[in-house]
Amino acid sequence: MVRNPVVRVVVRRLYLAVPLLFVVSALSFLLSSLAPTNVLDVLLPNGSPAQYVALAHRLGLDQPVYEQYWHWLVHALGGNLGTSYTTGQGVKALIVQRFPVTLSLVVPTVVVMFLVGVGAGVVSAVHGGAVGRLIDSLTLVGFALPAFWVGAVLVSFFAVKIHLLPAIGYVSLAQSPGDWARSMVLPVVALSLLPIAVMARQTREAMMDVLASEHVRMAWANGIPPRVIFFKLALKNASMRAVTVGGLQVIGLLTGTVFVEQVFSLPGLGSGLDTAASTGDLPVTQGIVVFFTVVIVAINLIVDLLYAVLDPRVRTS
Amino acid sequence: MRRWTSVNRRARSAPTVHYSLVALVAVASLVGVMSTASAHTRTATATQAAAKPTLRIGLPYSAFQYYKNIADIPNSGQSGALELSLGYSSLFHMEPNGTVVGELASSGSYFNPGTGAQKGFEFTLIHGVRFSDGTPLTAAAMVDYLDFYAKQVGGYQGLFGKDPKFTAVGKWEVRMVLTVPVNDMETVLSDVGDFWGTPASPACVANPTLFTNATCGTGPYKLDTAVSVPNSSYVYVPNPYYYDKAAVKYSRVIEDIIPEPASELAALQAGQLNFAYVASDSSTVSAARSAGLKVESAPIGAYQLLLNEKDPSTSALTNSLVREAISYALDRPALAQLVGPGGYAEATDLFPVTDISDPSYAGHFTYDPAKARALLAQAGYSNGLTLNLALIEARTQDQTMFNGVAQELKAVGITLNPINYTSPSSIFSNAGYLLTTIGNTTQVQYSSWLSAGNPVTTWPADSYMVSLYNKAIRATNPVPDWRQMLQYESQESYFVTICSVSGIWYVTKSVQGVDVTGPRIGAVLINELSPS
Repeated sequence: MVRNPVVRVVVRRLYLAVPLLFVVSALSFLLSSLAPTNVLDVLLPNGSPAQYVALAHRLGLDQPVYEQYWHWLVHALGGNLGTSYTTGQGVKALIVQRFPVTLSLVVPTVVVMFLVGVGAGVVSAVHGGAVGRLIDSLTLVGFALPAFWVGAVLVSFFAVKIHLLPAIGYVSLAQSPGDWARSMVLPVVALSLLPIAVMARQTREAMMDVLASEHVRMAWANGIPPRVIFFKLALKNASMRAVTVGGLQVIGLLTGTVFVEQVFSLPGLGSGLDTAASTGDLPVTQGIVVFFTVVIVAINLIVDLLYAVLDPRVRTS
Repeated sequence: MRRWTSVNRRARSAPTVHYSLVALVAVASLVGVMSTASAHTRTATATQAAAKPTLRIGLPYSAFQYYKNIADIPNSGQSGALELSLGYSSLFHMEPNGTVVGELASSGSYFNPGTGAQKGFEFTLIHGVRFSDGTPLTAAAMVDYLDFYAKQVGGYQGLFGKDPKFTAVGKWEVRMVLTVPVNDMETVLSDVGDFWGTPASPACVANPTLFTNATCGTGPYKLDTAVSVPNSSYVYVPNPYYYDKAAVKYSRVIEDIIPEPASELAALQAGQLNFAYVASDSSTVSAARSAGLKVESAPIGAYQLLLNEKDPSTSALTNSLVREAISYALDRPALAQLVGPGGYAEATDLFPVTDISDPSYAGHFTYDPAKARALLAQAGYSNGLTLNLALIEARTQDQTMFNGVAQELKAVGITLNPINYTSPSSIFSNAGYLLTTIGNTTQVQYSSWLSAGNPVTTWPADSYMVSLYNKAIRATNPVPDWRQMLQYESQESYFVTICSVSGIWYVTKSVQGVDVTGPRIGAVLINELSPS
């Protein structure tokens, strides 16, 4: 029996992840099987009926869906996620190759989201007045602008007009840190706009609530310095909501990578998933969906652990 | 309220300094990184100036999916001249003007094996050619490849008949004995042919799984698998064993798979790509022209209806009057605009983009609904009729085309009953269709396309058509015979061609040699490209 509540939360999360992964993988398999795109048409666009039958048999696509899923599951549990129908590349190798690109996109976006979003929320709550209204207006703009449109506009100015940043492509960090940064600026800006707006709005609301609370009023009355009140009392309490919203936004970013990686031609998991789904490449679709699910479980776990760090009640309850 | 305001004012000064500092540091860091990167890029560019440049090509996935490797070619029946020309050289090369010259073969000629004319062909390999793994190209290696290719089950394997024989004569000469005549063998064995003449290394032939991750040919470049990301970016580096090193003009060739034409255009404008192919998506053509890019286009296929006489549910289509009525009922220019304004042009010829097409066919079935109704009445269908039309539900353009065709046929009394299929395979496995729309890729090698083994051929019941085909396939100069056959086919309306589909290329001034017009129909070959 685990007594430490934090460890108990971690164990519980991991325990729940097992049925979650099973349900997600089964649903993903079923939906992919129902999709109208047939990988046989991709591989044999002008093939004869005999060729279709032979290839379907070789890929196991002539079996019922539940049997196909069972085969996939058995192999996946053994650590074998299969091979891409269209490229012949192992799915594990594909994930290893593409994940750093997606990570290069998501990590800076998360950093920017927290720094700018929380910062803007705090400034808006603390200053109020014209600055607050300006930030509120900007967050509304962030809500309204779709990432793909923002991406296109940024590209047309920074890449096409002034040739400062590349329009497409990815350079690895190991290859050239400077070029890596240049290749990531526009995608990160495009991807982070909405999360920044959400974070700013939520942080502002949370800060306003805390600043209006009894204990903060008491702090003012006792002459505690404003910096302590804003950053130690108010922001720390407001950070619970910021962490919750931030966790959800990070999960949302995974969806956003599909669009942004397409627009900027980044060879990450998002574009890989899009290509696999549009060509009926079931092993790749399954592999990336399951991997994303694992990432989401990990993010939720991190959020739970952050709760424990930020709120002593979680550690002792 | 007043108190809160005053507190806010008091608190404002300190954090403001911090924000400014943080912002200043962030901006300075960003500018620093940019400057470093730009300086790095400039240095790298200056260093590379003396060396060969990199060629970057943008391709949509729809174009690239067929070109993964040569082992897939026999299975997919698709050609990818540019991609294959990077890693694979061919026995013969077709010049942009259509002239075929020797490449890996110094000479080639027909001989009579005793079983009929144009069934024997022999060629001599040039010396000193090596595959990208270093093994030499010899007659034995060529025979191994031909035997391998003949055993694949694809669209081109029937071209040489059943069980063709390939023999090495000495170290450099190869003899081919076919079981059906082929009258344009040098073209078939060329870089725009059917890949019979594009040898792969003995190691890959012995173990075809090697094709998945490597190029196995004798071409000027080879795939660098360490830095390539399948379906996203393919990096080619010079083949150290290439026999003609002077022909290698680039230090690297990078193919970026960019699904969005707008992204391709932006990358071209930003100087990241030298040229790009956008398939038949014409949505960015105007913008590309405005940006000063050269826009090249060439017809790459056609939308056609296959009037299938073999359907057991009706005999209507065996009547040529009904077939002609369908052809007269279609407003081709309007339908071409419907599916793809800019990239599509009306056509009535079975092969509207080949050297055997005849412009005079274009006016043969001018839109005339009154004549269509009269022909139907003459055929005994004055009250109209219903036909099934098989179409693939996943293809949006097929649905659009169906709606357009259905509307125009309805106006003359023909009701179309759509039968949705999920794939061509399901259509092939169901013989009950009468009529279908297809996005047909037009081949230079029309002889193989017209062979009786082609799955979409629906006219072999017509003995005159077959006799014309057999005459053409044996002719030294088959073009007049093909034209006669197609004219007959057109008049009989076995295929109702609606419009041709164009492939579109955007070319910057940084590259020369992207010429898609002429008899090669859209083939761009790597050795013809050079930096400006």
